[in-house]
Amino acid sequence: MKRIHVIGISITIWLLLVAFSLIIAPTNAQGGLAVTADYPSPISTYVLEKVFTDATLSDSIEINVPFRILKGAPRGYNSTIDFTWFVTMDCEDPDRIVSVNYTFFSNDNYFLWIREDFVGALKGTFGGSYLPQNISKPEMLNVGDNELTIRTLIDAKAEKPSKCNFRLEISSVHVKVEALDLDGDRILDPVDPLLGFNNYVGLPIFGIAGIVPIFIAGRRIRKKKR
Amino acid sequence: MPIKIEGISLKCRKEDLAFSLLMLLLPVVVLPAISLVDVAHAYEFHVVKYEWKWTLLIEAHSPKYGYTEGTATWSYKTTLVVGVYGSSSSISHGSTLFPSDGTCVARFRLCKWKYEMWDNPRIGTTRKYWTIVEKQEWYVNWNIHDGSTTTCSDDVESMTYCGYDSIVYAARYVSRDRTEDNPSSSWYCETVSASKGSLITVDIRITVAVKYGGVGVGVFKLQNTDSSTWIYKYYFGPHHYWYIDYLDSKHLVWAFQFRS
Repeated sequence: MKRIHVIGISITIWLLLVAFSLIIAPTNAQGGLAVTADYPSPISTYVLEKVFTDATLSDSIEINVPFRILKGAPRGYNSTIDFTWFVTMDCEDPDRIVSVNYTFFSNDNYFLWIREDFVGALKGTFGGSYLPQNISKPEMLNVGDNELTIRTLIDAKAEKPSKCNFRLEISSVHVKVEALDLDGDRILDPVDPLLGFNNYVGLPIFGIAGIVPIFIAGRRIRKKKR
Repeated sequence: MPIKIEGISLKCRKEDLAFSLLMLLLPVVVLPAISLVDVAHAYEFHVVKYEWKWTLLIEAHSPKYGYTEGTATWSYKTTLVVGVYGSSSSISHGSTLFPSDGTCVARFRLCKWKYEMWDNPRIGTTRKYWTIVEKQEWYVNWNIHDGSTTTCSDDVESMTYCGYDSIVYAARYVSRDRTEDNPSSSWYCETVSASKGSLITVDIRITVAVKYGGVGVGVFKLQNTDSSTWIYKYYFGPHHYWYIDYLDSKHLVWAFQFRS
């Protein structure tokens, strides 16, 4: 076989290998991957209702939301938690403080704290939702089964006993798992071998980078023959 | 004086060489000196102060012997524009307040305010900026009613909680813009609304005072960024009478004075 044929075949194999690893294999792998997946809590509404006159009171609810990271690297996903709350209250004491503390855990790893306080003799219904909160660290996520926990602690205090009706309703709790494509090459980050770099730009760079050593190797073969 | 550099021979006088070197050194020495003097003149005095403050997100009032109701809108943008130079800070949030029976409530978020002052005595200019640089996930829903059992005319316009002061905001009934009389024996309601994307609240007066810094006067704006229309209903109980003060120029946020 002539030297030029050896070089030609080597270059073709190299280009095919690069195209396969950067484009074909990841495109194929992301076939079964949903761009976004929504995991609601097993119970639609969590309610904690207290009618009390004690100066202090504490109670809690724990909400667990199972969710899955299907495949690839967890850092290729953006996972967020979202919920809405309603508080209906009628408290007489102007010094009454009712604190609602939400502490968030991903697979038992703490990652966020939100506090909502109700101060004074409040009467009415108040509600809110927070901006979707990121499960910020990928190391808190596993490929496969995961669990998000919201520990909600209600802590009421006043200087003296007074009548207070308090009802907390937490609903629409859901974890959203979104496969990212930060480099915009339409290859989702969980299966992208060139994370943060466009694979279609990487293709010619890796191609040319391989062709040069193949030519050099070809020259050496010729020199040895001489 | 002959100079030999790798076989090249140059002949020049000592004076010429010294002059050339001086000319070369001139920009090297003079230019940085000029720029240093310029910087010193431009900003002779620079002050930066920070303070965590309870920052108003939304406020709502209800008439005594009445209540409020509406659609739960989960997407708002609060914008606080402070000072002559209009330093603007925005907070996106989702909340709704439906107080009843004379309760007046405001929701705050703990935010870190930065006060920055640049003084230029050469041209006699002082620039002051007030901006939010950090936010905590800590919110307070505060009864801003000052204790009167009948009216909202004594609403508190600032508060201190857990050692942090709030910004100062307009919340008090001042003068009559409207009258609501309900001599009948049934309830009735007045509905106000702001469509998707439009401003719910414009130009509620605020004051931001950063400790050891400056005091800035500005305005509070609230925009409905939800996909649906924001609707708010004020309900009035039978056999009672109220005066109403519009707190903002869109006439959507009302403060009440109970008459009888």
